[in-house]
Amino acid sequence: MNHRVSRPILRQSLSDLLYGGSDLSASSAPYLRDGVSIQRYMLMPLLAVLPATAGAIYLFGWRVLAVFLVAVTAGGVMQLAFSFIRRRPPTEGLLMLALLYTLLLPPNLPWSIIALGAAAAMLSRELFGGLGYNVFHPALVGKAFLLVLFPVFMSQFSQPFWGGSGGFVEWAPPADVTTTITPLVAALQNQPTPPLEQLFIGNAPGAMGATSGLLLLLAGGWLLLTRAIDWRISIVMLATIAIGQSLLEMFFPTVFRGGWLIHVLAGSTLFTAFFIATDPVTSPLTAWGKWIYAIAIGLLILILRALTPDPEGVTFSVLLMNFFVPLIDRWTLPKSYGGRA
Amino acid sequence: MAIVGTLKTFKGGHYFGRFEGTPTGRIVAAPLPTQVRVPLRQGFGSETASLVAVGDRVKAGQIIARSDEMTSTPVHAPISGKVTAIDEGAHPLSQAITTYVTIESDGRDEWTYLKLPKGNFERWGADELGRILYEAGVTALGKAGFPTAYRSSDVDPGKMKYLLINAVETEPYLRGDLALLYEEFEGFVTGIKILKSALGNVDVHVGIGYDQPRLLEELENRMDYHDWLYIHPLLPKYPQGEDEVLVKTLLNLDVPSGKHATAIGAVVCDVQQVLAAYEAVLEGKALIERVISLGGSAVRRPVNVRVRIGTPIGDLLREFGHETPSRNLLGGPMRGIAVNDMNTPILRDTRALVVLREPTKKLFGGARPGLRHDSYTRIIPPLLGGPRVATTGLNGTPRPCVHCGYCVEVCPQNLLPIWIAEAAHQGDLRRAEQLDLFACVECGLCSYVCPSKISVMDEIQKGKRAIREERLES
Repeated sequence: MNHRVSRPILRQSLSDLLYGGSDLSASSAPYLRDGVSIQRYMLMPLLAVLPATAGAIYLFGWRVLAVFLVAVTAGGVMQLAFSFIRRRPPTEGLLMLALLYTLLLPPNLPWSIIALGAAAAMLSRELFGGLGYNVFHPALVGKAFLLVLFPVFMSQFSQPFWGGSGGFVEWAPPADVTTTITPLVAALQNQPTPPLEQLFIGNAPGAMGATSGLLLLLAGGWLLLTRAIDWRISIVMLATIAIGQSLLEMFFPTVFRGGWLIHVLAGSTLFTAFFIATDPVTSPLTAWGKWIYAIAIGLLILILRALTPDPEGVTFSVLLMNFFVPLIDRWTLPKSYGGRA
Repeated sequence: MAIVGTLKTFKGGHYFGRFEGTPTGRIVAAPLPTQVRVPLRQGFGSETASLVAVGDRVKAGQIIARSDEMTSTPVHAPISGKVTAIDEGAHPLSQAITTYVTIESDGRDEWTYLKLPKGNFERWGADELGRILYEAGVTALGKAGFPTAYRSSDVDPGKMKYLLINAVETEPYLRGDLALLYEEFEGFVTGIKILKSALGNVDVHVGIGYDQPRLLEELENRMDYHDWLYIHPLLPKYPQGEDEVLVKTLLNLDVPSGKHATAIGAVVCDVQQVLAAYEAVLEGKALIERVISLGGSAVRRPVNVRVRIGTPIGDLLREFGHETPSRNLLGGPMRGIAVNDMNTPILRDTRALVVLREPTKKLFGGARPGLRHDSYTRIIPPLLGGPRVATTGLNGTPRPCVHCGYCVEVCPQNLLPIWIAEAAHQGDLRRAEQLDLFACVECGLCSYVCPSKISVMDEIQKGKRAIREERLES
């Protein structure tokens, strides 16, 4: 099942990149194959996340782009190393991984930390066998790695640029704003939060690409329409958070706070629902498995946010559920129409 | 009264767009072949024993091979002429060694007809109708043959409860049945009555595409007074016409995996089988010609064409023109088998001859928009770009499975195709059986939709073969 390579890997990689297999033909029935290649399939979320990237530059300055380039370089070096060790051409996914990773980081991280996290992310993917074989979402592994090693750096947020040309004429927001807290933390500590419409358009501190609910909803809607992501994960996860938070606040008002809208709009929730949890490789294959996975992530996010110091909860919720994916798939095997399994 | 059901469909499947090179217009007749090479195994059943010798003169419609003591159906001479050779060769579909009878045409096209009893066929009785269908070769069509008192299939015709008529065509380029429905509607209506009489006490369910309202209305009007007939408008989604899928959609019954629909008492016939029954019973004509869809991106004149069985595909391609390099498929683009030999004969269960262009190398082929490709995803906007263009290209580089789940979504049998393929590929046949690989109907959609270009169905088929061999050994 694995793709075999007969040519030297450099030539094969170049050919993959330039021609994308357009000269290959089917050697067994069906001789008619779908027009969508893995490149096109993986390009969809990448295109969808571009408006959010532009938004991130507007909010946090051109340093966002530099962070992305550092992440691509660090991840790329790691991938090339594995490619030579394995003697297999590098597979797709580097750009997407680096971009998602970038958008999940707070602004103003030191370069060395950014590079370290990106290398760790790619390492986690390649160690399991590369594209298609990784158990954990690589961008989250990179972020979790940094959250554990550099908790102080990772909880330093900045107020974004707003008004006029915003961050399009800036490099980065000032780094000394150590008192800035994210809306979610404010909500959990019963402090005043920014107005909801400001949160919706993205004028709030947070992970660089995950603050603007508007841009993320547009991207998510487009991905759902083109069938590039599965509604069973995105919609169910968001619904769980909205309904779950409302119910929990009703029964345990001292523990769960903030209101469901804040929980949906802040703390990278929308970003996770559309771009992270929907990653096909690390989510279940069966229809009912996707429901279980999405509901479990939603509930875990709420619990982690209320009961642990983790400000967002999304990273470890998704990583934890990644563990269970093979198990969930086995539990939810569909019954075939042949009367077996 | 005929009962018209509501619009029905099944879970999964794929609605193909319209492809460039799909046959249109009236059915045309192919010129009479000068020489035919007829394999003595065609359609359902085992190989039949030859009744002719080299040098014999035969007429069109004459039985040249039959084996009444084995599960089989007689084979006929499709043209009149002289038997010039009887030799062995690989069967075009199964590749098993098969006897071929070569007949050289005398150009006179003299026919011989079956002997028919007098009077209306409705008074002939099931046994007599069964004999005519058997001797006309009609019983060889379909996945499990048509059951008669003769050994044309493995089951007892008296135990059948349903007769399903598949009048919905969903595979790209296949339009022959539809063209026949419009041109020979009377024959279709009478043919249904004949097949019903041959089976006795069965309910008849006809599935027709809901996008053919004229046919639906006409059928309802003509069959109005029959209370055994159910008419079902169907969404023309591939693979609706597959026996197991049709049974599930029309009757909501599951065909046990690895078994034919006959196991639950359902006989499935397609349009051409109904029409062949009509011609056999009313005109005494044996099944020696059929309509095939000659289409595909490399065909110059895509047509539905009436051909004699045994016509070499080279004759047809010369007549209607094709571009090279291309791939010739005996059958549709999803289920067809690639054939290189231009002498490969058209068989009595060949539905189509599809010729597809080979792909050409394109710069940045992996990322191009490709508006004219068909796709299960809506990543390629379905309304843009006009008719779809097809090649045999993979349209991408092979990659490991990324668990996108498209194969699970399209599988009409509710399987996990990629898991079965992986198990089969690794030689874990027990796991493949556990995942019910024998429920697979081999529609090919899992391979079609895979963005990683994994030949999922091919791996499943290999797994099936390995398990069958294992069972033979023990």
